[in-house]
Amino acid sequence: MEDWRRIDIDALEPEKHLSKEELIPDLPPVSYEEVQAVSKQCRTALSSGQFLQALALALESPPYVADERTKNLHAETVFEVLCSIKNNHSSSDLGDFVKQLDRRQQDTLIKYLYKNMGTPYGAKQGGLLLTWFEKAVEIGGLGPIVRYMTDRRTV
Amino acid sequence: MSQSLKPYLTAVRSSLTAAICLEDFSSQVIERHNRPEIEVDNSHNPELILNPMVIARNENEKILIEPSINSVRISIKIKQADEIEQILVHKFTRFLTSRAENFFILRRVPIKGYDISFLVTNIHTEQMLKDKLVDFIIEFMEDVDKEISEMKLFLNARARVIAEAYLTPFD
Repeated sequence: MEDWRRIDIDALEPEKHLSKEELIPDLPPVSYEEVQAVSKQCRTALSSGQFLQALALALESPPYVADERTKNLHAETVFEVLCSIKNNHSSSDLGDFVKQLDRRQQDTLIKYLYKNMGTPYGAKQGGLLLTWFEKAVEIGGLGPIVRYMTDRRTV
Repeated sequence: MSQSLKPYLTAVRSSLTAAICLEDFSSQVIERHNRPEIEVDNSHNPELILNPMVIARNENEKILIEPSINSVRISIKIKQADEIEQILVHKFTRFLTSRAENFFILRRVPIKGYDISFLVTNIHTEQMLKDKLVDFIIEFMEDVDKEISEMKLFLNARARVIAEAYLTPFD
C-alpha cells in the first residue's frame, strides 16, 4: 500500500462543505443592456396605459445572475410599475392585478416587494408596497414568502 | 389602529409565520456543538442561512427578519420622530435588554441600525407555541409605540408643571 499517512482525508469526505459560489444558480447571466431594454419596454407599456402587460413583462424576466447594478436597475423598474399602477387605480383593484399573474410571477412579485422595502426609496413609499404585499399574500398565501426565503435565485 | 399600521403588522405576521419554521440542527463544523446558525460565522456552510427580509413602514419604522435552519433573528427599529423619543426608546430598550434572561427570546445586543433584537431558536419553538410567539412580537410592536408616545406626553406635562412652579416666584 502507498503512503496512507499522506492521503488528504478531507477530500474524501462525502459531506464536503458548500461554498457561496456553488449556491449561485446555474442560469445564463443577464447583461445591463438587456435589463435596460426591458425597462424601456415597461415604460412604453405604462405610458400607453397597458398596466397589466407592463407588470407581467417586468416580472417575467428577472435578472437572477447579474451584478448588483443590474439587479438594482430592474428592482427600480418593478418599483416604478407598481407605483404607476397604484397611482392610476384604487387600492381594491390591486387584487385583480395580482390574480391575473401566474404563480411564478406572483413569487417574483413578492421577491421584489421585499427587495424594494429594503431600499431607501422603497422605505419612503412603505405604505404603497405594504398594500401590494397585503394583496399578494391574500391571494398567494404564505407559499411565495417561503419560496422567497429559500430560493437561491435572488433578485 | 391607524390606516398604514394594519398592513404593516399583517405583513410582519405572515413573514414571521413563514420564517419561524425551525428544526434541531447540529453544527456541521464542530462536532457535538449545536448553535443558532444565524449567529455564527457561516462562511463554511452558507446554505444554512436563508434570504433576509426587510419590511418597512417608513424610513424610521422597519423590521429585519433573518431566518436560518434552526434560528430566526428579528430586529425592530422603533419609530423615533424627535430627540425626546430617541432618548425614551434608548432608555426603554436598555431597561429590557438588561433583563433579557426573563424574556427568553430577547437578544442582549441589538443588531446595528436597529433598536431591539429577538432571537428565536428551535428550543423556543419546542417549548412554546409558535402562534403565541408571533403574537407576542406583534403585540410588542403595537405596545411599544403606544408606550413611547404615552411617556412623551407625561414628560411634556411634567415639564410644563415644573416650569410653572419655577417661574411663579417671578410672577
